[in-house]
Amino acid sequence: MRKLRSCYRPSLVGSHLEYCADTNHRYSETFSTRACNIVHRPVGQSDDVQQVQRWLKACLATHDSCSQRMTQEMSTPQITPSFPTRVINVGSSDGSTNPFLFETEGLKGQYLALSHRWGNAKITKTTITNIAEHKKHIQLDSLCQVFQDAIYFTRKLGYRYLWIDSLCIIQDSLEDWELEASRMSEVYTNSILTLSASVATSGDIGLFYPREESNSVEIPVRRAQGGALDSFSITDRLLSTFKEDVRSGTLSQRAWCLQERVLSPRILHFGKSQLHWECISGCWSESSIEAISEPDAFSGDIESKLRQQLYLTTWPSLEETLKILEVNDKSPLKQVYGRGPYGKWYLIITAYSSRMITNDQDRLPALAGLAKSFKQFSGDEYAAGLWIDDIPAGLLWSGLSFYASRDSPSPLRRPTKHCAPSWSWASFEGPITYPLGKLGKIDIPRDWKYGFVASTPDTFGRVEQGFIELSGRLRKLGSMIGFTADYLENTKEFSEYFLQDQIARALYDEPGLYKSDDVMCLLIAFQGCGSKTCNHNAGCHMRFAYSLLLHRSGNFGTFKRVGIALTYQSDWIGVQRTRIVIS
Amino acid sequence: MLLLDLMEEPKPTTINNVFDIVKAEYHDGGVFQVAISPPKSFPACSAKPGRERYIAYGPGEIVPSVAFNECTEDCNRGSNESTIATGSDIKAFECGKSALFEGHPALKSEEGRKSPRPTKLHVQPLGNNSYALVGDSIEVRAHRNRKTRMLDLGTKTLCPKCQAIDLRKLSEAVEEEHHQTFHELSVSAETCRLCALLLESAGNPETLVPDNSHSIRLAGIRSKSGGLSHVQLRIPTLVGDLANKTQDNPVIVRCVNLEAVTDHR
Repeated sequence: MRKLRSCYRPSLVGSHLEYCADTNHRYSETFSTRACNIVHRPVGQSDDVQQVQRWLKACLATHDSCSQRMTQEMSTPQITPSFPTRVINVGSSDGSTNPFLFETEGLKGQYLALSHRWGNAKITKTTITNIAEHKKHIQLDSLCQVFQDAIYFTRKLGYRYLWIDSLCIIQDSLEDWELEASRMSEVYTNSILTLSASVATSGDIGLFYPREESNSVEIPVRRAQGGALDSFSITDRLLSTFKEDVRSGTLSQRAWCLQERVLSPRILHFGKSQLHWECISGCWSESSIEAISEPDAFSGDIESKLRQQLYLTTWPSLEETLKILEVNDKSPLKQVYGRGPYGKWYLIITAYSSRMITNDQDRLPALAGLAKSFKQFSGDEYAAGLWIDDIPAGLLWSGLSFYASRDSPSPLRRPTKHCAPSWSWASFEGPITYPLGKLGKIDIPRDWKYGFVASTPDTFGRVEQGFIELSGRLRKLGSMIGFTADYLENTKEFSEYFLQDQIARALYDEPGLYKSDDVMCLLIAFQGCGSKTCNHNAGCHMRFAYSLLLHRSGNFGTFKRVGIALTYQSDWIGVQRTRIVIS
Repeated sequence: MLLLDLMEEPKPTTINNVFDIVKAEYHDGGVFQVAISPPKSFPACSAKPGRERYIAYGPGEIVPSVAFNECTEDCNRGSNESTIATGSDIKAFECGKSALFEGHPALKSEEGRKSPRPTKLHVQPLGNNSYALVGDSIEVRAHRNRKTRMLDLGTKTLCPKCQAIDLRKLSEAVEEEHHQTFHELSVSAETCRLCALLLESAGNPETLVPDNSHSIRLAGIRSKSGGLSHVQLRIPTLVGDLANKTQDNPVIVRCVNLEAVTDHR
């Protein structure tokens, strides 16, 4: 084989480069690296604006799903969305002018948003005292690194406005904070692009990570007749993946960042060794032309799926759902868990509750944006993280599942500050789940009432107190089969051998605090397959019922929630309904 | 390698699921011997706790451990004493042992009936209820260090073997022969930049005992869309002496994936 001469240069032949392995031309037809569909490409600098512009242009011009979402959000795609109350004017692209805070006063325009973790960095904040100064100018080098990088990148992308939480919300004004927190949904939904410091653990760490060097060998390939030269490289680079940077990144652990990611139409993730693009149409990494995941991929991120569902799913209205389930005012509600929009909400809560939050009292405000978006589909009233028309199923949250070992500690921790009523999952810190099979007939008549005291006019924010008044069958836990002292003693040794969802069991939110004789059990729903044709024999678990564990909280007829339980259906025969209040 | 991914099964899968698929894949009949290597009952002996690997980490390397080999040997030896199955069902099977069975009678050829020699297949549990059927070889995936050692490749050229790399074959995921022996690759690496890169990626040569009876090969790895994503270096080895201890002498191939990259702009 002849040694390749260095005088060959690439040249375009038609739409692709031609290729042949050597001058002895084993292949006569045209062939190229593109024909081979090599899916990986070189990774540029960490501030590769051209790549981001290509992604953005492609998304705006060719992504049907993304444009469909734009049409849904705006009455027509041409209408520019409103600015948030304040944005940062990033100054001139050459950096000759400093950024400043801009009060938008109802103007409309395109802007970027920043999603980041404050961490231990000294974050520059807008306060009542410095807002006038910030409106004149903000000294760029006084900002933390992630803000400087975000402003630099916004300039390079050719945009003028950027929304950053600590600068655009007056941090020492509770009134302004609560008002702006309630508008968080619109801030991220209307941004043209969200810059996400996905792996930065604090504001001191910027968006851009240095790109590590790797060994790479270029292999020239050319056609038999000479003239056209192509090449590809073999490299030992090991780049951080979307999974490492985004799914397992810093922001994937933070509660506030869930809605920032789900509500943003487009996100640019700054990873450790490459950029990642995420929009409704899919996810891409800088190192590959191939999409990482399709929007409807089964194994995709829960966040990506939620975005899909929130933006693109046409759910039936609540009335239609109830009609399907043959519910009317006279019949008890038959809600099958997972049907209708509520199953999606429980998925959101499961994902959200496993994330960390610095201030426990922000647990509901940090979800307000998602709740507002969800309300568009459910059309329902929202109360401290639950939806009123699905109160029975919504009450059945727990820290553990019925499959958990009996000596498993509860992952829930009660915050030092009161955050929500006892019936709300937001009253605890820690990952919660809805350990339900399919709900059969719900035993609570649809005449429940609710009320709560929100600390703000916005009902999606912090809740100080709240109650639910309902009629239900109430029985002392210690008197039920499966919870009497004798039964528990007799089954102590072999209870672990039962399938965990096939034996009566109580899951306390805080185990060890209550005796079963002091705890009341409220029947919520029977377990069932939901099938009209099932005769509820073998294979169907209709002999069980889901219940709420309650403890008297002082006033007559007033209880607080302490857990949930799986009880035998036979325990409820002959028990009359009584009206109670859960606070 | 036929990857039998059974993770989507609702219940923990048994090796019988693997056999069902093997039967479907090798429907030309005959007797099959399936060895589980390493046995499922063998505890994970990874230096990293929680990672269900049956191989031990050296510095930047993965090699089968001695205990792994011995346990594999014991299990496979034990299974060979079992009786050869005559029906279509699996007669002798226990996790960690090999099984002998015949293909579906309806599909079994006349030749297959006459031949007493079993087709030897290896099944490798990958954890999470998934199994890899690796044919007559066992693949050891080498994990490279995240910190790349920069090589001085500027002064080197490409050897004829590297110049002749056939992109079309790689893109069609066809294995291509590279150097005949590991020694040849090492010598070529002195002057060839790609061979130097391949040698570096293969890991510490001291942990590797090459099997010179098989050549080093390059294989294209396809992405999910069917495009070419990686070039896999495949080095036949005798690492851990596993080949000498199992009776059917499987080839152990150390596999290293390197990215294939081209500028799409």
